[in-house]
Amino acid sequence: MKGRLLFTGARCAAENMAIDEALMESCRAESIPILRFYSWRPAAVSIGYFQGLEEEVDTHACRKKGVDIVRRITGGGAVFHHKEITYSIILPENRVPQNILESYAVLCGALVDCFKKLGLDARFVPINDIIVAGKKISGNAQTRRGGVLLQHGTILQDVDVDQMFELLKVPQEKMKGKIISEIKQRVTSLRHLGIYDEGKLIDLLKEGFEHAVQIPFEKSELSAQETEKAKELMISKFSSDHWISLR
Amino acid sequence: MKQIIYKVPEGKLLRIHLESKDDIIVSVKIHGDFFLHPEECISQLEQCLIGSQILRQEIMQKIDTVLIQQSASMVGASSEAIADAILTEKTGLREILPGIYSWSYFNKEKGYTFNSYAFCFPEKTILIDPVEIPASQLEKLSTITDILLTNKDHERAAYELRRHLNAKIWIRDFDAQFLREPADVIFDEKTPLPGGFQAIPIAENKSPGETAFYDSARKILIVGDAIIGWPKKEVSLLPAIKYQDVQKTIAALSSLLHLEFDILFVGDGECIYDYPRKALERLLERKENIHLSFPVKL
Repeated sequence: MKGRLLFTGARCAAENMAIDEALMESCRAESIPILRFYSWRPAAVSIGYFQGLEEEVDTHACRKKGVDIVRRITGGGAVFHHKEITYSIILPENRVPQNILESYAVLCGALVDCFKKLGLDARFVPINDIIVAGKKISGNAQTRRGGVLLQHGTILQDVDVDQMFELLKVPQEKMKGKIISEIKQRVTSLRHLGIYDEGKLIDLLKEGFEHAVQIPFEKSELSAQETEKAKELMISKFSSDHWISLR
Repeated sequence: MKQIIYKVPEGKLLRIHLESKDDIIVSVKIHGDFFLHPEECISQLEQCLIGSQILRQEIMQKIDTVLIQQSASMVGASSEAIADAILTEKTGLREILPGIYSWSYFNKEKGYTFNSYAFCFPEKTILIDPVEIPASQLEKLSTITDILLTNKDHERAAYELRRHLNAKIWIRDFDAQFLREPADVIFDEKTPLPGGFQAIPIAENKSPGETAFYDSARKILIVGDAIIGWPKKEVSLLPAIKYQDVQKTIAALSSLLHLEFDILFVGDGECIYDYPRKALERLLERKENIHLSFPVKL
């Protein structure tokens, strides 16, 4: 069996999340694993399924700066998607360990392998992070439904913590300054590590996932049906106020 | 609706919106960056807690039942974490009567809360048996000048708070020698105490210097280890091993009935706001179940 490799380019937040969900449906019907790479235009804030919109996001600042806001179908924390490589891997649940933490370890292992091939000291830190030289470079999140697993995650190409916190709120506003300076110490990016070759990184990531799930991925396109489903989900779900402010 | 922010040890951040009345959950929303599969199960988790008492076991049991029924798994949080978060709300600084604040620490080993009190006056605040609390939470109170201890075993976070607040620690003469760090003021039953409290010596108890504090104006009695607020609306003694002669302990406690008090604040367990003297009378009359055994069953 061969998996499908998709490059869906830069799209708005609602469309990106709608494509992920549409691909889960395809995978459920066809049982073919899918690896997708994409980016975000405009920049966006995504929040985890269980997060409160107003608690996590300065919605006014996002509107003012033209930053999209979307709620993910996965749990996890709020992410500012700006200069990053984003991937999704969608596959039948039975291709990875049933235990959630173990399945994170397997799939995040693909990213760790990729970073190691670039000569970086990378490591998976449960539950869902990857660190390089002690600093976080990637966050990942999973959901499972109808026998299909989706894991999507980000690899920071560059990071501007100050800009990020103009858009995100912190639990204790009084401590914001301190929290920001701590995060600056704890986060890194490809640029900080001197990695600029995005093409090579994506090739290595693909190899990493092929090794992790033991399937070769071959270039493919979104089908007409997937495009249609994604469009429908984008309008009815991901760009709706009901979904965005669900919690 | 109160918001509780709770960092799960080794896990994620919970943000719980909670409304409760008389320690019963009226409404609850569980937010945070944890994972739950399937995600939609969160509504059932929230629903199952409505009507629940704010008790660790009950909260955990209800959540676990839903997780098992739905074959759901939680990552980065757990039934235990949610219960602890909700109990934190019960134990954080709260105004229990006008100008009187309390905060607590839930002792898992013993199965009840250790309580602390802050009596606020316009120019100063007096703490009694303080357990750990972020100093920032105390900022809204007037200057904390004194920390009164009911006995040698209730030092709790007194020294840390003294260093931070520059307040004086007060202890009864008989217990002074047992403290880990020296007190600032050693008092006896005749010493005028800050805040107008009266020192009520409790003889034949666990500590030689066991003392209750009495606020005669508000008819509030504050005890340390003399009696424990357990079970609900009743009082008990610590395990028998803690006393030299339980009969003498009981006899000495009867002297408290000479005081007029309408409210009993306890260092350990639950306070009694309705007829606390009756609860003490019942303890003194009881032939059985006088003592706690740890952990007390909630």
